[in-house]
Amino acid sequence: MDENTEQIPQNIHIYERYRLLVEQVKDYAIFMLDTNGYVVSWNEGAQRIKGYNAAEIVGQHFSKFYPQEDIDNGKPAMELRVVRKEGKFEDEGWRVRKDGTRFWANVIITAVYDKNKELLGFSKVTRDLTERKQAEQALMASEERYRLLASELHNTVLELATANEELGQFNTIASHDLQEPLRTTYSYLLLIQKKLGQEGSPELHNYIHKAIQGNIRMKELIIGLLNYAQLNTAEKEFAQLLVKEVVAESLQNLKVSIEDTGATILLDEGVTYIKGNKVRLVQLLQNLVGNALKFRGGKIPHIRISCVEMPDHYQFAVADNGIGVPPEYTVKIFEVFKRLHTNKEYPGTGIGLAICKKIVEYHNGKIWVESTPGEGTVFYFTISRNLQLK
Amino acid sequence: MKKINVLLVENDEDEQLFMKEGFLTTQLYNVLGVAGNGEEAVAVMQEIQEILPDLIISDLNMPGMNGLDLLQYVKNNSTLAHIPVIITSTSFTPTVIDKCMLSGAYAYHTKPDSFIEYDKFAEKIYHEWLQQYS
Repeated sequence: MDENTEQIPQNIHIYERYRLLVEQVKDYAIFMLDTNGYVVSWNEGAQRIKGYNAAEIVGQHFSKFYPQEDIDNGKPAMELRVVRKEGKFEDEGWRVRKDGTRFWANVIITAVYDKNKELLGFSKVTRDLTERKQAEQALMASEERYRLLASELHNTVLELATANEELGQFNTIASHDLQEPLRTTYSYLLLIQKKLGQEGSPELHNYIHKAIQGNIRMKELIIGLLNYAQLNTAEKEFAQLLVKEVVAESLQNLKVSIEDTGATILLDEGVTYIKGNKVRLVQLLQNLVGNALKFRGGKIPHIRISCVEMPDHYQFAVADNGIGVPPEYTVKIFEVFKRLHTNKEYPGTGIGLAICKKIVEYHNGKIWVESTPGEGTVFYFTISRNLQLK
Repeated sequence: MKKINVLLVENDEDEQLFMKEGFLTTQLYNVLGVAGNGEEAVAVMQEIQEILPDLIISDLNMPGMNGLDLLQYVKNNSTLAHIPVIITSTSFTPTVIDKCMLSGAYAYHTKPDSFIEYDKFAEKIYHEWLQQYS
């Protein structure tokens, strides 16, 4: 008996403690419903999460916390049925605050019984997981975005492979299908010219001459474009090369223009050997020196080719005293078909420097130009020192 | 001077005409026939079995059996395998040239710039032939 009389006040004290504890919990809405689902108690957390104070909500039905579509589907009643049967119901879903906004809730409803197993009502614990839900949704959205990006990338890779294949086919088309009809018109124009001999008006001869020139120019363009396209597809082959030999070979190919213009060409050879593709480097130097000879602007060309060693690459320079490149064109001149002059002033295809750029890139290098219009131009290019011999 | 018995294979009819005329002008060739593609070339050789060509000059790009197909046919046929085949084309793509040479072509020549220069083309081939076969 003594024990019991001691226990009662202590128990009351414990109940009071629990009541205060529950009431003051802020992060959880903890409240009681009667057997019909009407709110009978309310705590601090419930007020914070759902927005109602105790006076407003006690006595109201708990379906108030559900979105309209859930009420229409009979969800609140269903939950209570489950709890009656199973003793417990857990759910995650959207719930509605007093102000009508929604929050993502984790809800646990538990049946509360008295000593005689008689149902007293239900306890309901609700947590606001909106932030977690939003983070999950953001994560899903970002996963979805990455999945889309990955699939787009995959498609792009496939498209690129197709484009490369088409580029290869373009070589065949350019070298054959475009050239054949051109050759036919060229042949017949020559034949007409031959048959005419001394006959026909000078005007007629001029027309035929112009047509033939147009034909020749078209052929040069096709061949230039083809050379350019081939640089993309070819496998890389590098060998040990003597700089002097590469330069000599490119100058040999320009022998006639060098003699015609009376050009002086100096080689300042700071490097003896380099690694590279001989055919391409000869073409590169030939294009650059060829340009220096062509854009001489009436002067006798003085051209200086130099080569120095840098930590990662060799740097070449081809300097001339020609007409120069206006500053606004120093980048554009490396584009395909970019020409700064009319064909009458300086004939050409507009592919030469684009090919130079491709060749330099083939050697993992860069090409750029520095120029003072009217005084001269220096073309610089680098080629990597780390190319694999093959 | 001994004339070379040549079989010309070219699909462009205009070009066929000039090609034949160019070769004949040089007085260095007997033109056994002018075929429009590989199949026709094979048919011509079957028709005139008693005289096999000394040389076949074939265009590369032709409808049906093209120059490469014809080359492979000739090289895989025991009675024809000895006949040198020259492949001609407007193409100068190294991979194309390599493929022809690897398949057993005797030579690869890019076509003359125009139809009316086949006489010079024919002379050049004749001189190469002399150096190789006499």
